[in-house]
Amino acid sequence: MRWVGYALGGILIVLGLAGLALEGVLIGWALWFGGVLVVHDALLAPGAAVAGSMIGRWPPAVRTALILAGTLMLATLPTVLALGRRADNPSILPLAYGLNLVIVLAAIALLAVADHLLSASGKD
Amino acid sequence: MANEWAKVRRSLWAREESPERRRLLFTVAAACGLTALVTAGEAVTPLARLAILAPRDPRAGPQGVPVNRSAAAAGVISAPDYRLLVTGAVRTPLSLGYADLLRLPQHTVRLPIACVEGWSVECEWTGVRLRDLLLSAGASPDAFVIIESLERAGAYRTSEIRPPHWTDPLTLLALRINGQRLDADHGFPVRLIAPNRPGVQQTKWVKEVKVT
Repeated sequence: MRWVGYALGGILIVLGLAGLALEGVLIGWALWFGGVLVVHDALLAPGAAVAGSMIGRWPPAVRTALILAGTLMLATLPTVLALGRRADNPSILPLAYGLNLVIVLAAIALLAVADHLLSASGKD
Repeated sequence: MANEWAKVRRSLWAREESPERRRLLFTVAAACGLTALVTAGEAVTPLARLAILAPRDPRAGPQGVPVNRSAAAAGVISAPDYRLLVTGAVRTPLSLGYADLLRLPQHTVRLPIACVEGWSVECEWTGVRLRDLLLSAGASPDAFVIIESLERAGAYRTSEIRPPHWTDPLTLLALRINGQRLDADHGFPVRLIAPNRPGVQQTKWVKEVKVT
């Protein structure tokens, strides 16, 4: 049963690679797909591990807030940096992203402080 | 690569009541949820007010609708002697001015303009049914059609539209958006709008409809 799965998976992989090769985009795809793996395994995962070991003893509310803020900033970095803004098209990146990011981060910080104070008073 | 599924299943489905573990899972869910909440509104219009970190605001743009490629970027200048041409495998080739198009039967449809980049917004489009135009020129109902833009260069200056699409009554050569004459950036004088089609293939500044 397991070998049937391997065979079916292998056929799909070969089919996909053949399709990429026939379209002539195999190299570009390999760079993009492999690049994602390299960036994840060489930068993101070790970075998260190092950051985690640094904040491991901090209060849980602060750690939660940092994970929220970090994920949000990583995901919206190109938007906040306004990469691709154009003078002829104001509908691209139309908002004040720096200010909006500060607002969201402030809300996260406020909730973290409230959570920390509540959980501290709950222990007494 | 070793098959680790048994190990993964054990650690995923084990009922470990650890508050630390539970907190981490909630935190990951909250991080994803928050990021979605402040970005998803560029495609899910009811959430538009929350989309404060999305690259697009579905209400921002000429006539309140976003634009991917402006008329200036495409190098299109509206000319007073504009003619829409219907050419190729037709019985009677057509050449219609803007006023001629306005005199043809107008239809209004609600269709989204949805960009592969991620934003999408529903609009009310008014114009001439592509089907009416092509059948009145005597095109065969199973003909493939190429829509060509006034744009001189660019990967999307033409788009193909096949019979199931062009014979659909929702497919228009639109002259108006939400009741207003199309802005230059939305494709004035005429743009294609059809259901189930990525935004880049809703060709703007239509110059010619070629039947093949």
